[in-house]
Amino acid sequence: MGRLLKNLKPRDKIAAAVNGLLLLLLLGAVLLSGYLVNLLESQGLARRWSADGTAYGQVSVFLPEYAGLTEADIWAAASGFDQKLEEASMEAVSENPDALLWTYGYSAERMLYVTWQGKGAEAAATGAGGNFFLFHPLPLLSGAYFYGSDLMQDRVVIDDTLAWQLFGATDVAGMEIEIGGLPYLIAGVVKPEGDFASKAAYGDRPRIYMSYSALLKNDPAAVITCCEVLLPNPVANFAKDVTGSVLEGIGVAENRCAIVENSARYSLTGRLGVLGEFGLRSMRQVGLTYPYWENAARIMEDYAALLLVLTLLLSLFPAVSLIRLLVLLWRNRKWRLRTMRAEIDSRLEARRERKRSAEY
Amino acid sequence: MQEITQEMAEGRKQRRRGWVKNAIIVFLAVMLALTFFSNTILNYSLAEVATSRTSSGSITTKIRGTGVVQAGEIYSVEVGETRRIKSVVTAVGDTVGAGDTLFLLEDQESEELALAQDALAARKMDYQKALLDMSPSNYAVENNTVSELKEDYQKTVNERAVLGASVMSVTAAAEAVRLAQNNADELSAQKTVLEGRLASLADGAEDGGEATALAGQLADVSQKLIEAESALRAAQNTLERETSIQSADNAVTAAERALTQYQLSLAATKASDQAALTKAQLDLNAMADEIAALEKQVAVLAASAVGGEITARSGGVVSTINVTAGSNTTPGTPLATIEMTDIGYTAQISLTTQQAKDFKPGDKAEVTTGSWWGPEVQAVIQSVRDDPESPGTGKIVTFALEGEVTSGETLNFTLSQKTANYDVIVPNSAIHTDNNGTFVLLITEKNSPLGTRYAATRVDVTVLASDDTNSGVSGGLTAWDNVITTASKTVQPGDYVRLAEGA
Repeated sequence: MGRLLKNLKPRDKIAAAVNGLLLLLLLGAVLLSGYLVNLLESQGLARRWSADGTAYGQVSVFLPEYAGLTEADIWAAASGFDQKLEEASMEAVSENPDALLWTYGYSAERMLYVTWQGKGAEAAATGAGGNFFLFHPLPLLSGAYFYGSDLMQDRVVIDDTLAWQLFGATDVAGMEIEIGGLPYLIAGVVKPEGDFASKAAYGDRPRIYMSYSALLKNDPAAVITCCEVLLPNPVANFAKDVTGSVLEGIGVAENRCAIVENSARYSLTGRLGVLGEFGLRSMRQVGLTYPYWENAARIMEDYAALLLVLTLLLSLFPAVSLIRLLVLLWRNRKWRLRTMRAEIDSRLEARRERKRSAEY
Repeated sequence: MQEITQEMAEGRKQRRRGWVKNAIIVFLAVMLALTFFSNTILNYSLAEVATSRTSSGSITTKIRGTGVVQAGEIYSVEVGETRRIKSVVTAVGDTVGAGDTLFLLEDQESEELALAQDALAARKMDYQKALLDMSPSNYAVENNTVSELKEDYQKTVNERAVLGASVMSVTAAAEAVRLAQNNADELSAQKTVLEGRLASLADGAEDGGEATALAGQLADVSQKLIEAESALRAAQNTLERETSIQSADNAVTAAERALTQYQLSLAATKASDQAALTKAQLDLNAMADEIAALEKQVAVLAASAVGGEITARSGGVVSTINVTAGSNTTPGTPLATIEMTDIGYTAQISLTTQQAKDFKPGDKAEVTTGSWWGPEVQAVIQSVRDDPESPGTGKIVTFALEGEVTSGETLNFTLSQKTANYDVIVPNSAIHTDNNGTFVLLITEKNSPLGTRYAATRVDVTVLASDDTNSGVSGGLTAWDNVITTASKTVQPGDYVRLAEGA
């Protein structure tokens, strides 16, 4: 090894050092990329449910306000999903009666004024339905989430900012707040996701999560602008195709909404797609306003695409060096194809000779 | 030189040994440090979790709702006439008794009474005019004409009677005249011929016999001619008489027809006049009825005039006043509403059918007023009925209220479903769901040479009942198990975790 290094020309030594450095950086970029794409919990439900080997796909649908949905549309869509999965002969394999073959959540966004004993704060309100918190497992500081199947739909989840502004504390699960003169019970207090993208998208505004029906009481004009669904995904794009088909069934044209397959958005093809949409991605043509978690996911998409470019750039010089090395090795090889046959024959003969000598 | 070379080689060997020794020392030091701190380093890479002990106890599901207090019955103060309000002598929130004055009115007739009186006077005038227009028709001229026509008819009948009976028709008489004329003409011609021949004989005087014969024939023909001319005159007289008779018959027929036509025309005129009279009589009757109704209306309005004030029909609390001094009252529009507080207060909340299914009239509810210092209020379910705005899916629960409440006040009601005891109760935040069902993550301890490590173990459960904070579950849990309630990052079954400080 030492002799090999001694025999290297200074230029080759520099090249080897540069290659070593670039490979280290490349390794770092690949590790960072892998770390980033798993950072967003709101994008990870399919990964969590696929832990037992069943392939799942997580699909998000975003709609503009003018094409927003009602709960009746959601129920019609749920029926459509059941029918599509039945047509595809899919059913829950677990014997547990509570097992879900698929699940969904939906949400609407508004601004509300929240009060408690004279104190008040304006908060971004997410009217959530279905299993919203399965898709968005925000870290709980106290209490628990609420679900669409709860008997009472007057419980809310607030974030630590709102809890601090109203109560000066975060352990406030069970307390009552008022919105529009109506009382609501705090089910839990959460803190926002800690990753840089979610922090940037979430902002500093306090946030409250309430059931969609409770949001409707305060703002009858609130419509559902985000639907998320987790479906079995036995083959690529099955979940996305089923979602598109069900939406069409309830009268939502595909050009009036954005359908995102979250499970595949950070794959190599997904990231290449982001690069391919460079520039066009900045355009908004259907009046969409993304919720913060989608904005965070899009930030992460941009970073993942950037890291892909960086990875390609970093691997360019080592790849050229490797090709050069292979060419040099080929040129300096001490064997030729035409002599190899004679060499193999002589070695085989020598082996047979040794075997005969051993027998005698 | 050789010694120097040997010393240098020895030096290189010693330096190499030193380097290897240093490397081994550093390696061992690092390994020692990693060994000592491996647990700590490992812990900080794990999810930090908060845990809670399972317990046994009861679960009581609570149903909450918000309702606005209103009186048991509300009545609207209304008047049936338009009057100008002089003064409003009560205010919202005032307690009034039956007969208390609510509004003072301007001293003037109501617009409705004045209008009714004007309408009555106008209708009476119309009635009088109609009576005058209803004088019976006079047919003297027409009757005179009938008499004249009758006289004309009688005259023609008499004239006809003078002519006697007809013997033949005018045509037959005319034919008889023609035949008699022809006969007379023929005889006259024969006479002329005979007279010519006789004259010619007289000139010749040759044959006296022939002349005698001719004279005899001439006399005969002349006699026949005289008879024929007489018959012709008789036939002509007959024709003239028959013609007169026919003219007289025609005159009788014409006179009779003229009389009949006039009589028919007169009868039609009389019938038409009678119909018009009947209709006019009916109109008059209707007008009379209308006048009677107007008189009744005027009498009613005059009798029901509220005078100078509007009073409360029964006691209660004035909840709304919809008019001000100077404005007019409008029939059918409430001037004010009064809550009849003697009957008590009620409040309603809307629930889903699922939420309301365990409650019935008589069940009690907890009441909060939104402030700690609020008065104590008791609420008992009065009725549970379908919500007309959400048929099939919604219910309206009405509470009868007791205590210090005021109309319009907002109250929060809490109904408790039946309490049941469960062997294992876990916090709601400990319950998770996935495609394999509902589960909790149990903390299990694993001892290793480096200390105790904690792992999250999945335990499938079935949720039996839930309240706002806890759920009663069945499955592979026992009371006093340690379950994960929250974590700093996602925890999958089988993951190692570290317990939060104080857990």
